[in-house]
Amino acid sequence: MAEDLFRLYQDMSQRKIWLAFKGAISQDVLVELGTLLKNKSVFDRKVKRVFAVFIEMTQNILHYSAETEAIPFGGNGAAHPVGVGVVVVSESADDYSVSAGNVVTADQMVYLREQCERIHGLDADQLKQYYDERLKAGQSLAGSKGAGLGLIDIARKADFPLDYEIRPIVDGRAFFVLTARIAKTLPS
Amino acid sequence: MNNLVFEATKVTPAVHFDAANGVLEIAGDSYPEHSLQFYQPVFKWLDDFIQRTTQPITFHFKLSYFNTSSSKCILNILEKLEEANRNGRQVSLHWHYREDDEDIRESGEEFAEDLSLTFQFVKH
Repeated sequence: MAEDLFRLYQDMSQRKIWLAFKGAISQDVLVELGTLLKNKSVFDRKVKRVFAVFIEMTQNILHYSAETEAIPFGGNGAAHPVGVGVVVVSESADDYSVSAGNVVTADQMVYLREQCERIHGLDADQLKQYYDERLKAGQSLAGSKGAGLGLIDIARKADFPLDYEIRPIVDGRAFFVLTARIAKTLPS
Repeated sequence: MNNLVFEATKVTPAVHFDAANGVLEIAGDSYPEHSLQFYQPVFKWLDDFIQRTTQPITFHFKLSYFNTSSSKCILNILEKLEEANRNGRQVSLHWHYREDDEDIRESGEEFAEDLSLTFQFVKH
């Protein structure tokens, strides 16, 4: 275990991983991890986008992951289901990268594939238009917590098309991985 | 009418709605776990205020970050203000942003594009 952990440490150092987390992503957890990102710099527009993408991705896991864990909620002891997933934020010479993964149901898999494919084909103006359209889809204010809109927002903040992978696992479920890259310097 | 006052938290903005002078302000970060739950009393107060009073409204948005589910709620507030304005209410809307945060300015511009309200952009 000690040796494994050392390798993990070296690997994470080499890959310039700012943070990596696997587990139940409660609001408290994502707020604390997000604060680490926020404190990376006094103010940097690109790092703020990294933060924004991180929040959208982790809140999607919190609300929609098909794998959940019950955590005690506040002081009242009532169980509160929270989505489980994995999230990694890292840095390379030219860009920042935010990756998130979680288990999805067969239905979610169909929806996500459709959304990701659609978004993948859109340029900046088309993304803006699609975002507008979804933002104004009025009835969703009450029902949806905003997923879908989150994906489009992530695509708009990224400087490159989103990478996504949907890998079937067991029982018709799949593991969904989404990666957004934000250039350190490119204007956008 | 009572004022509506919420102090800011890490994930919810400060809300200072002053019923006496019609100066309404939302300031800070907005990314709660359940946005609608947070904004529901804000919507309710605003509806009452628009219905029960006639004085001009001065609204200040001083947001530094908001997630997508909050942006739906912000649009909802803007639409209420727009409707009041269409019905003859005087509404002056100020969208504040940090000088180095063009993203916040742009999100204000995007809201403005589809609304008949005039946005005054205030740089800090």
